Amino acid sequence: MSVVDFKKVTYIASGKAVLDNISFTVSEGNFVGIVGQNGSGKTTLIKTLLGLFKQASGEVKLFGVDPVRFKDWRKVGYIPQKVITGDNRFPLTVSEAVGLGLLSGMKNPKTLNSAGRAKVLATLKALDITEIAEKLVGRLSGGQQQRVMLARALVNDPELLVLDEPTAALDVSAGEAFMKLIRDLNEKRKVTVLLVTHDIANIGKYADKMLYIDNKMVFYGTFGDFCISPDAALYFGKYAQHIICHRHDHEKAEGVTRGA
Amino acid sequence: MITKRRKESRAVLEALHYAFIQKALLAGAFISVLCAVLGVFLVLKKFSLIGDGLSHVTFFSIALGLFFKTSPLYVSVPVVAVSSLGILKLTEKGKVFGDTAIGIVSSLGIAGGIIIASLSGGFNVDLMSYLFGSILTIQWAEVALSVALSALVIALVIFYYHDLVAATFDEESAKVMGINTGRVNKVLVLLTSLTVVLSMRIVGIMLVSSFLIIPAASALQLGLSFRSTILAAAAFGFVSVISGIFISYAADLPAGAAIVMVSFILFCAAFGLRKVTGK
Repeated sequence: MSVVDFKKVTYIASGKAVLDNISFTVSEGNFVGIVGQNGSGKTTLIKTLLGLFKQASGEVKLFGVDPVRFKDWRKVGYIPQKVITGDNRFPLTVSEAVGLGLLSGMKNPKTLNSAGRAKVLATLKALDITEIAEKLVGRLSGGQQQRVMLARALVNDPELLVLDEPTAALDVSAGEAFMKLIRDLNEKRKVTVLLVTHDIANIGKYADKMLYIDNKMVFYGTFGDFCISPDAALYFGKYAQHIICHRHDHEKAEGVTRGA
Repeated sequence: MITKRRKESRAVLEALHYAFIQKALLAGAFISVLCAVLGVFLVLKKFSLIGDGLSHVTFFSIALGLFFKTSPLYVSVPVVAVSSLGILKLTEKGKVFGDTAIGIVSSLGIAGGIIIASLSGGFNVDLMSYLFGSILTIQWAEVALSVALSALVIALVIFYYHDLVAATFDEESAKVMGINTGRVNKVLVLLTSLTVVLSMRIVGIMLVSSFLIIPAASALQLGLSFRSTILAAAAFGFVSVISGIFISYAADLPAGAAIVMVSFILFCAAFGLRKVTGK
């Protein structure tokens, strides 16, 4: 079953096609890296998928439903691009922030019962952040904040995880640790993952497939396909394509790569 | 020393026997809690000056009410509610910054009020009592209205509590949780407009935003959880109003100003506590 389906999707903002005739499908259990330069439409694509941008033409389906009419948000976990809060006085503890993730699908007045609290605790434990449960999120390090955001996205056991540059504000080791967590979720819990990133060479360590966009679609497929793709060679140049594939092969040899 | 304290305690107990003090305490207690609770959301959304802007619109609506010789409350509730939605619309759709939208509506309110007041022959005593508040002269009907509307607003805040917290923390993610953040924001500004109108008799148009901002700002100094911050803000607001009314009675000072001064002292204490504890 396809989790995400884009058919000839175009999104125009200020007279410019930010998304130009984009078509791709993400199946259950896939780990797809969405790659492209600044302004290439990656975040717009994600926001269109999540129903945050509603003016796109073409057909977008999330679990087979138009995102604007989609109701079962419990199935979707989302980590937005910006770090949660730069204000260390924002009065939200880690357990309160994670508990917010349970709101999807609830009717007002929403309450967090003992089963909900147990779910929050189990998620904190799974992500190894129990000891910071009562700390304010604004006072945590960037890596801890991203774990909290991940916990909030995961607390409802989503089937799809959408991550918009989650490691952009992290140092290399914190970013690696975070990405390994996501990979484990995809492998062990079969969570479908859509990951927006700048890092085309690094994405092959984690993702099954890569979607490269530059407002229009440049490439969609596995890393193996990418290395022999004439479209990719035309867009990047043969030399750059070779360098990217070489780095990918090197990581594969070290036993960290998958999906090629 | 002990005799002096006994005298002060006797004066406080004596004050409690007066109906005007009882009315002031009852209405003030409810309004203070209400303002403090809403204030936490407004301050965190960086929308706290909306109270100031709406109070200026209230000035216009009161002038209008007095001009047509009708109760200012009947005019103020719809006018201020529509203005609050106007500010929200300007911010959301018109791509105007929140403070700019508040500034536009605020100056429009003041200008409209001045025009109406000048058409009616200048400021009269009634308008001045709304400008600076007159909690000690409110009637039982106003107390009943304040209590009833406060209860309604607090019930709505409880009903939407988690949605309000989610939308305040991260509006985009709240939308992806299926929360109708547009409706939540409308509820917040409408409740604020109702609160501003209710507060005008107690603290006055000029000082109403302090009711919304200072207790919330004080509570935020303490580094507590969201729920505890709301409770702390309510406590700060409650203590400010009760103490301010007694100080006003004992020292023969305007109640609204006395309440704001107590509120500010509590803010300084909370700020100092934060510095000392390093929180």
